[in-house]
Amino acid sequence: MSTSTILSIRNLSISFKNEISEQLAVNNINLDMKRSQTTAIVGESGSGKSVTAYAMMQLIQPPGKITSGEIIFSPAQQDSFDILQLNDNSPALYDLRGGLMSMIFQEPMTALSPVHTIGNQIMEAILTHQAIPKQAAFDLAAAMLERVGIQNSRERMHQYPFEFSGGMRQRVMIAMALVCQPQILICDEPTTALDVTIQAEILALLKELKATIDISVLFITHDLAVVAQIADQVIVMNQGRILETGSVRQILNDPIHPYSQGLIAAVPGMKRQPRLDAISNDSTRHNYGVHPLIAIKGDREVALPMPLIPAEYQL
Amino acid sequence: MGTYILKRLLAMIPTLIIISVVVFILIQLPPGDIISASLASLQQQGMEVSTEQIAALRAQYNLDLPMPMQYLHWILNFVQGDMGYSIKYEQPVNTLIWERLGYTIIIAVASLLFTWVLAIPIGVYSAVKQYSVGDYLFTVIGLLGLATPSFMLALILMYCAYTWFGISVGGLFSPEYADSDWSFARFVDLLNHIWIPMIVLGTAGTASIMRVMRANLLDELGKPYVVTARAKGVRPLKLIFKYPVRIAINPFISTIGWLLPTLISGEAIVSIVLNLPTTGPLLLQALLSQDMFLAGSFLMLLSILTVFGMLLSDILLAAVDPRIRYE
Repeated sequence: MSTSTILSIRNLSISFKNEISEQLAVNNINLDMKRSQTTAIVGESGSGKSVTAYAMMQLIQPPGKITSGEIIFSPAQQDSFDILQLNDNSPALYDLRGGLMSMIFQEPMTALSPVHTIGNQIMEAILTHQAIPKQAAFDLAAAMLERVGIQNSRERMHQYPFEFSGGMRQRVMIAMALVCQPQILICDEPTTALDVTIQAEILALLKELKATIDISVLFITHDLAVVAQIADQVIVMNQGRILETGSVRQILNDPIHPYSQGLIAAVPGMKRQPRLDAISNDSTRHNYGVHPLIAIKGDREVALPMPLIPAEYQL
Repeated sequence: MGTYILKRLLAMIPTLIIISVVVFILIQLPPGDIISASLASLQQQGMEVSTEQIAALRAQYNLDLPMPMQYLHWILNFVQGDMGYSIKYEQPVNTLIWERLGYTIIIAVASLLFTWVLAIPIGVYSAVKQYSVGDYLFTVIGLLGLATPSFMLALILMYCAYTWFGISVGGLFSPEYADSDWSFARFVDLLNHIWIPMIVLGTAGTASIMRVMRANLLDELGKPYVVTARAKGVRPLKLIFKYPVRIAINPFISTIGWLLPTLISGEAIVSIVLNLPTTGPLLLQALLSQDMFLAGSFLMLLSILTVFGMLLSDILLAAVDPRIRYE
């Protein structure tokens, strides 16, 4: 498996501005996604994880604005380019959206248009990117629905989203995202709105698809249990900054940054236990301070001043 | 769907029966009737009318019968398509109404088209380019249109057309075509006249529909399914019209049915100012002069159109929104 970088974000800052103030949602971050791997971004609400993903497809709407940085995308068999340099009307941007890169959203109940059939919406994804006859697009879409575990796909193509359950809708979203064979799949909290059993089914499906399709996945979540199941690489974000990166085993078993440690300590277990520690936002802001990411042993990075990094990790 | 429509149609029958009773009571409520009203004016002119003559007149119009019988006479004739005789105009109500209804429908449809063709695109533009110069400009114009009374606008337009272009724009036809048979020239003459009522009646509606469209669309633009479509790579123009506009327009489609009753009652004042041969002024006259058959027929027609309009709205809404269709 090649471990080259498929996407690298450099010095990305995104701000949301209103009349009174300007809020940096993403503050000068750098990250790399490895080809054919699953990279998870973990963080609490407002940490900037979703906004980062939206920036990758230039989906940020005013008042949000990308103030600086570049996102270098290196698709297979193509020259790499900076996504942020693409003009609003450039054909390359529309090839990218849904073609080279696609996205699954948090709310399957509202992410599909209520007045168009499932078939219509999946076929639209195909016909936007491929010049093929409608019948061929229909066959392709139906096959993709079977692939994500929806039976009687030909009949179900004619149904509307409200005739599907939440889990089924998320399967439809996955089918729609994968039908054009993108190279990067962004999953923006795809299981957050589902109940636990459906969540497990969707994760199993994603893993199964990931094993058969060569695709790089960016998985955004706040759920560390999900991270443990699906991720190869983990990026911990807070307050618009990256605090720590590393492999899933490194981060979950051996977190270095106090915030990562706090996150993992805050996962409730099955056993009766004393009150969980809260991660205080004040402490994240003041006690940790703002530090650049430093490379440490084991191909990891952590945003701590050198003296606070245990000696055995220092390079 | 078929059984649903059938059920609704059957449910209309009791509704309309109740409405007809209420209408009948309403038109009987004011003291006196058309006979006593015309008698009063005759006596003022110094004419002597004998009590026998009065009784004969009352008998002719069934006014001497007890109320329930009067009602039955009226409603049974109405159901058979005979709406009675207008004492004031001395013509059968049928001729009076049908002649005017045609013109009323033409004007209403024309002004409706004018409204929609103008208001929907402007509303879409205002929402997509929210807070742009164009949005503010249209908002100001729209609010001006909303605040200007229609009859005022009618007067201004008539004045301008007359002083600057020398054309008389009252009515729907020039005098030479007023009573002639239909021909191409008469049709062109109609087109020359219809634009003023179209603009006058359309302007007020344009402003409000524009604002509602803008608000509806702004709501829809932020919905997740719009982001999904953007993430699919759908081009902006296609995206806006296929998804959010398609949904934002639903409330308007469902109001088409409500417009039916306004075909009859709508804009009486404008019609009077513009001297239009529509039903509005006639309805007003009928109510003023207690012309009971004419007024009653109008009110019944209004009610029937309202009830049918509601059904039409529901059917249209079901046609455009699958969520309603499948319930």
